[in-house]
Amino acid sequence: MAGFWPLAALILLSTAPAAEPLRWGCDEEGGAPYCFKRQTGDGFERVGFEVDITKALSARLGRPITFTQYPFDNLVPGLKKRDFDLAMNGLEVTPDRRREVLFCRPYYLYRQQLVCRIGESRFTDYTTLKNTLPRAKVGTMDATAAERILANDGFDVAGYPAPTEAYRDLGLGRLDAVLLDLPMAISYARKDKALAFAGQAFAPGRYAIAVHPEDTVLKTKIDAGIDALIADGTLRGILEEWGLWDEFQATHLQTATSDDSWELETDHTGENWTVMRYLPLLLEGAWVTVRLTAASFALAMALGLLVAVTRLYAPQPFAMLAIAYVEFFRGIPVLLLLFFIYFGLPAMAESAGWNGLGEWITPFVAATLGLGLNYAAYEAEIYRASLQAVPRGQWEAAACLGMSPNLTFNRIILPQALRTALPPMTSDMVALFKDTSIASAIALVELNKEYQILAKSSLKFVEIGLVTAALYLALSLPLGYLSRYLEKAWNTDSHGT
Amino acid sequence: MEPKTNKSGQAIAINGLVKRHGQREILRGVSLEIASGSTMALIGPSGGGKSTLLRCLAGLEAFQDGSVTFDNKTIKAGEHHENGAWLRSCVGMIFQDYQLFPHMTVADNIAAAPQWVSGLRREEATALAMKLLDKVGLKDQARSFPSRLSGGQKQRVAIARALAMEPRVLLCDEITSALDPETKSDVLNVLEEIRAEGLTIVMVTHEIGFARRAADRVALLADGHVAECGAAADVIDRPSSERAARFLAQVMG
Repeated sequence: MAGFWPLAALILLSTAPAAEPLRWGCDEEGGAPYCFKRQTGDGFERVGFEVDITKALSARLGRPITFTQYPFDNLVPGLKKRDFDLAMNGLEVTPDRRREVLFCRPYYLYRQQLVCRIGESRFTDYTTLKNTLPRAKVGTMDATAAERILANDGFDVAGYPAPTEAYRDLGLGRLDAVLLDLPMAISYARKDKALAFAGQAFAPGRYAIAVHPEDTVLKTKIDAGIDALIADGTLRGILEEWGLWDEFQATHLQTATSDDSWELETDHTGENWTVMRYLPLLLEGAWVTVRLTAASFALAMALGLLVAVTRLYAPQPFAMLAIAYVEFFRGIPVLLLLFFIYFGLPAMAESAGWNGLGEWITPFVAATLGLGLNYAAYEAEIYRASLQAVPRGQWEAAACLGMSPNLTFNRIILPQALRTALPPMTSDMVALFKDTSIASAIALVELNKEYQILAKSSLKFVEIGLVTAALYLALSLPLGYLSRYLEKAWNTDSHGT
Repeated sequence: MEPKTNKSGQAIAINGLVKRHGQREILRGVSLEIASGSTMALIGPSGGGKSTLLRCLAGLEAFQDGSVTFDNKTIKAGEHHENGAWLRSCVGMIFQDYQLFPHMTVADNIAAAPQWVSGLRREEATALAMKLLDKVGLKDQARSFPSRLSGGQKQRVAIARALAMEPRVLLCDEITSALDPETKSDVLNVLEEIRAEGLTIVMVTHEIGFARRAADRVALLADGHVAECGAAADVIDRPSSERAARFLAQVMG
């Protein structure tokens, strides 16, 4: 037995590297034409021009490449954590990313394409948009070169997790325009009869495969692989198949590199991100968070009280509806509700022939409704318990003084119930305050979303994260203090009967 | 503004009152006459129906048979929905557990109904509250919250609160049962003062001594029936029924 383990280790060491597949980190939710799922006869198949490139590359390298689903805007941190070996998903070569990871030879040269609604008369391209509508609401995807260009030009940027949502909101009139990489515009907007390209593609940049900074050997091998795919025309064939081959590729792809000698983007990040630059943006996000908390909690309180009163005092069928409300909204995830309100309702209204709803349901309105409806269910239960905790004798005493049930409820029962309800209400409000971060899923830039945007642009995850946490605490701690103070003040006044 | 205690209390006639909780009969045909301005004490063993009878008079409970007449207005069984509010507006009710409004000051407890229900201006209602607090000897507690008061003080506030609506009948449901002996006498003194002003008073009590001194008549309720009814001294000192004699022997020790 003594000789077995060294032998086994030797076998593993000598065979594993060659047989071990390369893990490819990619977000297939990002969509066409990069890497996405397409329905085939009896299931789904992963397709896209990057899928085709990895297949060709895998053959060249003599190593299998396996797919790992990973959120697009976390590809760089994920690569550094070694959750996968290579990142390839329309990842732009930028100066700040180049400081974090190693980029291989570019496999595609992207440009930005502005898309507007058909019949748009206010602007014809990016330059006229900038001149006539300097504060226009422009959609794009999170953590993309387009997002950085738009933020730099001072537009009101709406960052989406996927291109479909951005183009849909443009169609619904919630956005003035969408700026995204040409491949997405070709895949989605060109098919959409309501949308049109505005002007020529501009602001070129490079897509390249990224690897961990220490994997220099792997980088060299992939570089050689891409070189070979360009030389033998395989890459051109793939890009042509996906409608992506154009004059620009023909002229520049041969000579493009991933270093700064072929720099196309300006450096918006890194050292430029001082506290004085990001703090105002964080405060702007914090203000949205505060407004959203106030609006949705006001809705939750009003609606919750209505539901509680209906459940306690209304005739049977209405009381049953109130119970159903509580069970329903407590039982479904807020995120689902937000998506339904923001994307689902306008689509339903549109199919019913009413087109105005999409413009009216802004991300703020949708988030207020979603969080308000959800929290109303919790508030209703608090109010119900608090109302029931007021002794029956209080109703009788008031009745014997000639007070009507309405008067008794408003002036005698409710004030006492609210005192009981106050502590759980405040803790719900603090929970709601933190839950507002969920609204970032529907492109509302509140504090958490602002943090994500800033951290991913500057890669200062820790520094900006600490400042953001401090802002959250600065806002939520006073709430808890206020609750304890009110509770104490009211209890000394009114303990017992 | 002066409580109209000079206006005489209403006469009450209870005729064949039946009250059921599901299958259980709590009152099995109770008939009583209470003269205007007199004081009637209801005594008897627990579960005999005293408090239920009082709650029927107060309009807090519907009854299934019989009638209640206040002066000339008769309320029959089944009319609770229409007439409960009218009954409640005639009477002032005082509860064993006070039921003061804990979120309001003593003065506001008293001023609330005159202001919200009778439509007095706030200053008028407050002045009335102060006058009534003076009457029950608690003027210095006007700005306190009920939680700061002793049981006897709470009960005197409750009496003042009931009087503020100028009832012509005062219903007292074991109002001294939760009190210790000293504070009890304060409450009973206040009650005797009110009695002297001519209100009709119906009280459920376990204070046989007080009933004998302060009540004009005493009715002994047992098992949902009036076992005995008559002048206070007659019923308490010389009970004619065996049921009454047994009860009195028990409570008098």
